[in-house]
Amino acid sequence: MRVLGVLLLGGALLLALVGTPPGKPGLMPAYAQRTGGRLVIGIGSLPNTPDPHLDSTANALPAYAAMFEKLVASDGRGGIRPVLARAWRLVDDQTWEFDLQTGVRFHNGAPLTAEDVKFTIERVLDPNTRSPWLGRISAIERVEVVTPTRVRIVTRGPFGPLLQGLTVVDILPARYFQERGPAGFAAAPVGTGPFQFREWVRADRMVFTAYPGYWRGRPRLDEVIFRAIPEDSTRVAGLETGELDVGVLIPPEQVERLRGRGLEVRAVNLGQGMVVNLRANAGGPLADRKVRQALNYAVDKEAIHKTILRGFGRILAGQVVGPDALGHNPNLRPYPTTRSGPGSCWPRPATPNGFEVTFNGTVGRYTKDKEIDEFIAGQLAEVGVRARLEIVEGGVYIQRFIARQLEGMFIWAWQYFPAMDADLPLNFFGCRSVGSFFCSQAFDQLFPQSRATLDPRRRAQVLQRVARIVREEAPAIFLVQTPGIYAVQRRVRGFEWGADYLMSLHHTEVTGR
Amino acid sequence: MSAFVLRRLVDALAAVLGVSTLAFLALRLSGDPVALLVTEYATEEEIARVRQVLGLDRPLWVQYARFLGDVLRGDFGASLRFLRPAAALVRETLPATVELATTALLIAVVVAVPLGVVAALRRGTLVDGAVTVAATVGQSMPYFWLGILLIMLFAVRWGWLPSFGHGSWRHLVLPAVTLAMTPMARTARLVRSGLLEVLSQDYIRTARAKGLAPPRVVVHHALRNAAIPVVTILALDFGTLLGGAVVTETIFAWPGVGRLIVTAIQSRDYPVVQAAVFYLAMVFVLLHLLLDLLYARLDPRIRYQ
Repeated sequence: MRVLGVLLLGGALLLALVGTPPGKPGLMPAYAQRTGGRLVIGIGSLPNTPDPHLDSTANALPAYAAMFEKLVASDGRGGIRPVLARAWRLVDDQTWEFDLQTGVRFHNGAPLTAEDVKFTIERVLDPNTRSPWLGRISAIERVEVVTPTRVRIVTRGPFGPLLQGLTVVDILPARYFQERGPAGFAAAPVGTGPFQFREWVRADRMVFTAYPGYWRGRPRLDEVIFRAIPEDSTRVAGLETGELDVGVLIPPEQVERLRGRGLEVRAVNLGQGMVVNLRANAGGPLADRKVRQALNYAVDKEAIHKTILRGFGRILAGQVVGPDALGHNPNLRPYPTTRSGPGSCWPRPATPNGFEVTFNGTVGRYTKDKEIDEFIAGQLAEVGVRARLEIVEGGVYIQRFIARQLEGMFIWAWQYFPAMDADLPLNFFGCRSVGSFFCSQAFDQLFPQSRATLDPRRRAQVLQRVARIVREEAPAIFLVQTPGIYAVQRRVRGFEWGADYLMSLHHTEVTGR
Repeated sequence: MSAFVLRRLVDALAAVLGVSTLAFLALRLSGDPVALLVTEYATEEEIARVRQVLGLDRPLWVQYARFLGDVLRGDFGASLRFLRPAAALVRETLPATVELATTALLIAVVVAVPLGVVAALRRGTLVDGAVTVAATVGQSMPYFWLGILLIMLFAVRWGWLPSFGHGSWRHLVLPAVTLAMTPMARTARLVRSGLLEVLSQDYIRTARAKGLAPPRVVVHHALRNAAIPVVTILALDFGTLLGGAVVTETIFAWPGVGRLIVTAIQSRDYPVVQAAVFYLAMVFVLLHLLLDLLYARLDPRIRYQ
């Protein structure tokens, strides 16, 4: 029995080891606190590499924006604001000239010059770089250095959304990059942003420190840490324990819980229009415009917004973008919900007994996506449309999307951040677009015109006419602009998360910790 | 004995070849691999270019031959998202997973063996019943649910331990306990039933009749003979642990190979998936080899020719 006692004691000791708390968690080493403190941000994932030209996933954008800057950015109201480009003008309808900000220095001390801009754009355009951003600026033919602070971008033909394309291209220091090579650069990346790179632990954390020489003034924070926490519940727990100062992508049902714990919970309508695309050019009932419109009447957008999303997000007004995008048409209204079953709006002669359709849905890709899928399928059943719901995980779903294996109806949130421009999502509604699911003569005549229009105001007008066509043709069931819910500790001041998915870290500070 | 080891090594190699072939094929059967490699808004030209650069426009057997040739040189290609050798990524993340799985296994053994012994020796009593019930509950608890529960209690409510991350032993506790629960429960039940069976054997009665002290009988005679199924299950559990680690690592944001696989699948980074599957298969195969050798030590009746 003595041996048994020893064994039990061993077990008890282990349990004690597991269960005894040596005080509050000392999770981070205590750095010397100075002005603005340290901000810890919990986000679903981190960039796959510190090289900003190689990862286009949404969650990578805020981390890149801490250390890099672009020529221009969205102003959040459908316009473009200057960042590293101070001003720009059209020389002719294919040549854009940019004046660079003066006094901008990279984190290694090198001044920003036109050479850096030329190098950066050429690198993204080089197919060997394999940048996912290439498609956004592939209309660029060449880049010319005019003076050290003036650069010209020449496009193949007039290209209206050029500035929008440039909102994703982070400017890198040419000489430093060439000296170090891609791997060397990724190990010690250098940008012009408010924070400089300190550490990247793959899939765990990315650490930045304030760049004192930042051209718009030293940021208040001393340090910013992005933590990759894929599981929603863990992110919420990290906020509750105080391990996180900020947590983004909070599920709507956790909001009250976090508010109850004294956190400030806010929401932003992300530049992402969630719709159910209808494969209209594959024949069958969905080829009929009246049927597609009827599906829009049948689905209760209000219920999705109020009940499933608990009032977060914003109902799309019969188009794929919200009022925060260039090309949004303020005169369009959402399809009203007609809950009278196969009533007045339903094209009875075409489909007297309703019909069956495949409905591809996702789980875990968008906020509440599975619930929305199921709700829509239920609503369609009420008007006689039997949707065979096929829900898969996000990674598999994208693969099927690219391989054009999504038949019938498929849910998709068309991302238009960070450019905040209707051009990108609408590009996929044409006859010749990648994986085209819808074909309309009117659309195909007008949309290319929008791209060839250089004046932003006129381009917006053309896009608004395109939006009207899209609403009438109804190649999609328009749902909502997806919400981005985030929680902030009371000790954090000046933090904001935008519809363009970027974070305002420059003026953020953490007090009293 | 050495002939046996050699034969087992050949078997192991065959198994590894089989697994990597499956990994190669599975990715192709799951759809067009190019769709895994480009972004969702890629253009037709981009897709064609990727197809050509990666040799995906060549016949399947050419691709397979090239893949095997590369694997022989330990080259799984560069990760498409991290732009570094896929094998290096797996080798970097494997230690964190092994750390987690080994700790979990250790916790399982240290807790389960004594519990199983007590239950067996006190058969039919309240203690026995409690252990059995606890083991059943523990075995049927999903990793996901248990992980969240532990976070809610130990991190959120009591603030004793961090809820996520990797670094100190404090970060290790909750994920390791989560991962340990299933093998712990299974091992406790197995020790109990194995010991009960052995205790009824003649040689135990002989040992007792010789006047050996009861602890000596239990530890030296009974436990040793009950150990073989337990060791087998534990070794197999190590494989299951690596699978359970995928879920547990995601919950606790643990930067191991399980999470690497999850992100690689999500970001369609198939060289990484192939490399990870290959390395995990290697671990598994080696483990089974060791297991066979361990049998011979535990039970002299087992002989290998």
